[in-house]
Amino acid sequence: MARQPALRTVRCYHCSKEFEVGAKAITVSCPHCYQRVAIEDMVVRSSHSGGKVQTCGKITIAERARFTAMSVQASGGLEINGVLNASQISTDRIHLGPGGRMRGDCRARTFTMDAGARIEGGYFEIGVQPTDADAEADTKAPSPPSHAA
Amino acid sequence: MPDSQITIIASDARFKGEMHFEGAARIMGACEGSISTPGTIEIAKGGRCNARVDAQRIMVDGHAEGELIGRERIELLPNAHVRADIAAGNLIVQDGASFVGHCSVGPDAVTKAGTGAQQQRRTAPETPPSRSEPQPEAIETRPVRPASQPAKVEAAAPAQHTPPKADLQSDWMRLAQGATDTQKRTG
Repeated sequence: MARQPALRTVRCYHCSKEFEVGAKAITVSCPHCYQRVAIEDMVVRSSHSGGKVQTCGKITIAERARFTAMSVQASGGLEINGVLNASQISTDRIHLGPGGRMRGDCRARTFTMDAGARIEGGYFEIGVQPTDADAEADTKAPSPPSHAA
Repeated sequence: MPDSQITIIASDARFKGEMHFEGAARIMGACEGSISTPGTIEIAKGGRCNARVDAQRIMVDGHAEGELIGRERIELLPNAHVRADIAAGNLIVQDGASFVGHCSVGPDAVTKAGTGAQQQRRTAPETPPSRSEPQPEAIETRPVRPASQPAKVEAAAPAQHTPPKADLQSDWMRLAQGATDTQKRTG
């Protein structure tokens, strides 16, 4: 008897729609918006800086780790036990651990934090569902520059 | 705290202005203005608050707008709709709550918010100078020049096209000269 492949549900960070992927998959194309999406979980264990970090999985920032980025999108959630500095943080749920510190504009469906955690400023949108217009705007490819004189 | 010590703004009440409580308060109606207490403020389900709220603990289960300062903690309950700037020692957001605004959490955040508010209160009564009014000239704010000096310095300074650096230097020269003159007179 053939075994059923293990599946998991992920949410596309381009169009915010859910779909199922194999449990061990790392990158796939979204069946709704046809854009390539990374679905791996990430763990930051030390000091790291990056430009734009996107994944459908979960990002974990370990204790004593420092993560600096322009933009962080983690559809699977964000667990912060170290330091996160990002201009834009967009995720499904954020958990700020007891030693966690974060700074940056943040949009999430749910937000929890333990005693001792710190938020060092930023514009927050918690529990606000993204509208369809927002999702469309995100998925829309940038229009080519016009060469009209 | 027993219920007898809780001030309740009932659901059919509306308040506009400045309120201070020594104990706890539960807002079930509508409030606008400024609320402060060393105790707990609860904005109950159905309550609306468009105010600056400064309290030890703030619990929101209704609508809140403005500014929330929770020195110990702020708790957003499942029915909370908050559109405000938050400064708190600790923040608890329960599932279902929504929050839009600037947020800083931690012991430093509360002290910063407190000092900022105090400065605002101090400066608020003074009316800012309107731009249409003529600004006083720089020469009027200078210390009075001693009578023995003016002709020389005035003559030395270029008449109209004085660059700012040169003007500053001449100011310092006048000040230094004034100081030496006063020393001579007193000494």
